[in-house]
This record gives sequence, C-alpha cells and structure tokens, in this order.
Amino acid sequence: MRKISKRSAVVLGAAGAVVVAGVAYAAWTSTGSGSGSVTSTTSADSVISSTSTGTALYPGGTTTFKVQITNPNAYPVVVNGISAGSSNAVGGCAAGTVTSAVPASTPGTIAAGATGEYTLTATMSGDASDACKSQTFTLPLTATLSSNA
Amino acid sequence: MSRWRIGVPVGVLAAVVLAWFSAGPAPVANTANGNGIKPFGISDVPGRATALFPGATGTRWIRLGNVENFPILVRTVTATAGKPVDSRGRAVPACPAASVKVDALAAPVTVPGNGTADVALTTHLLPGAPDACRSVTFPLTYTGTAVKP
Repeated sequence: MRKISKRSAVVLGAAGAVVVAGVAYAAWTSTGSGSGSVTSTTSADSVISSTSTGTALYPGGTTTFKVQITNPNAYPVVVNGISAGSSNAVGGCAAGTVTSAVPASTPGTIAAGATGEYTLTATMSGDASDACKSQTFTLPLTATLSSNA
Repeated sequence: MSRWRIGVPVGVLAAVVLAWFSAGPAPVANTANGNGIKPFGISDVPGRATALFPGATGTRWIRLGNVENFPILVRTVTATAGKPVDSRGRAVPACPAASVKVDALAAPVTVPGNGTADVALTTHLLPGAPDACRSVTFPLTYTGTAVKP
C-alpha cells in the first residue's frame, strides 16, 4: 500500500477547506417583513319571543310557556340565563300579577343564525283582581348569551 | 518522481471540488444589499381575511413580493399581533393583543422572479377574548426568511 506523502496530506487538507468554504457560500438567504391586520366581528343582540302561551291562568295557578331565542350572529352562542319575568299592567289588571321564575337551566347551544326554545313557568298571583280575567299578559324577559365557538 | 505522486491526487481533488460546486446552488450576481438576496415584501391581500369571533379559526391571505429577477423560496413567515384599535383608530386596552394568534407559514412557498405569491395564514381569536375585543382591528407585523432555491 502506497503511503501519502506530507505534501499530499497538505493538499488534501487545503482541498477539504475549499470544499467547506464552498458549502457555506452556497446559502443565499434573505429576509422579509411587512405589516397587515386582522379584524374581529361584532355581535348582534338576540330576540326573545313567545311561541306558546300555555294554559289559561287563574289566581294562584301556574302554567308553562315557551319562548324562542334567536341568534343572528355568525357564530354559535350559549344561553347563560334567562331573567325572571313580571307582567306589565293590562286592562286594569295590576302589573306584576303574573310572574315567571328564573329557569333552573338553559341547556344547549344555538347555532349561528338559528333559534333555541326554552320552557318557563308562569304563576298568577292569588289576589289577582277580576280585571285580570281573560287577559293576555306580557312579561319582559332578558337573556344573557355568550359566544360558544 | 515526487511531483508525479503529488500531481495525481491534486488533480483528483480538484475534480471533486469542481463537481461539488457544479452540483450546488448556482452562484448569483451580487444585489443591491451587497452580498445576498434583496429583502422580500409581505403584505395583506386586500379583502381576504376572516372576521374573527371568540374560538374562531380563520384565514389571513398575505402576498409575498420578490423584487429579484430569479425565484426565491420563502421558508418561514411569522406574524405577531399588536394592540388592537377600534373603528376610529383608538386603542382598546381592555382587549389584549394576545387574544389573536396567527400560525406560521405552513410550508415553503416559491415566489417567481419579479413576481408575487399569495398564501393563507391561519388566524385564531382565543375563546376567552373579552367583549372589548368586538369590532376591533389587530395590527400584524410580518417577518420571514427566504433562500435562493
């Protein structure tokens, strides 16, 4: 086997260095920069409406009725709660004659653009006057909702 | 005798070195910044962004601009969200900039010489974003890296 002379070894080393330098030179890099933005959407209020009035009330009586909550937003929402209700005055029947309690739960998610239905319970006061006969009672309600994507 | 012995390995090594350079990236002419590729631009594609809501994932299309006369391979693009502003350009301190996340470029993109390439980044508005984050604009700062392929 032929030995490599000292001069050959020097040439080998030099050539190796050239190869390494060639690899480093090959990387042409650049950087980029710029600016832009993203936006968040807004929120629209939901509407609560009655879908079922339940059975006719009498002093001390109760009934269930249903309300529908719309979700006009582009994202799903969950109903966190529905307020208690108290009837407006109507035809000589005093305000507050009919009340509804806060529902124990308001389960489910309302999809974007969809509606959800919830059942509430109404009670007529035991001392309702005769003026409260054959009346339709309106109970303002408020629901709180949160996005639920 | 010794010159011959040295001459053969030098010739072989020279061939190896030349072969390495020919197989590697082709050298390019120096450019305006002296010794590399000119910086490339990153900007929004107008109108191509999803309005975000809490928990949402959207897209933000960006345009990569290459001012060189040869293609570049954009390897990375990252975006950092800044403090949001409302529709009047006022700061919204109750909405933290960290409410928005933008994913990095998913895969390298080739941008033609003197051309542009559009690519989508994935955006997120975190589920816990507060109400103050409705209808706001988050400024984005883009940075990226590229090489000559």
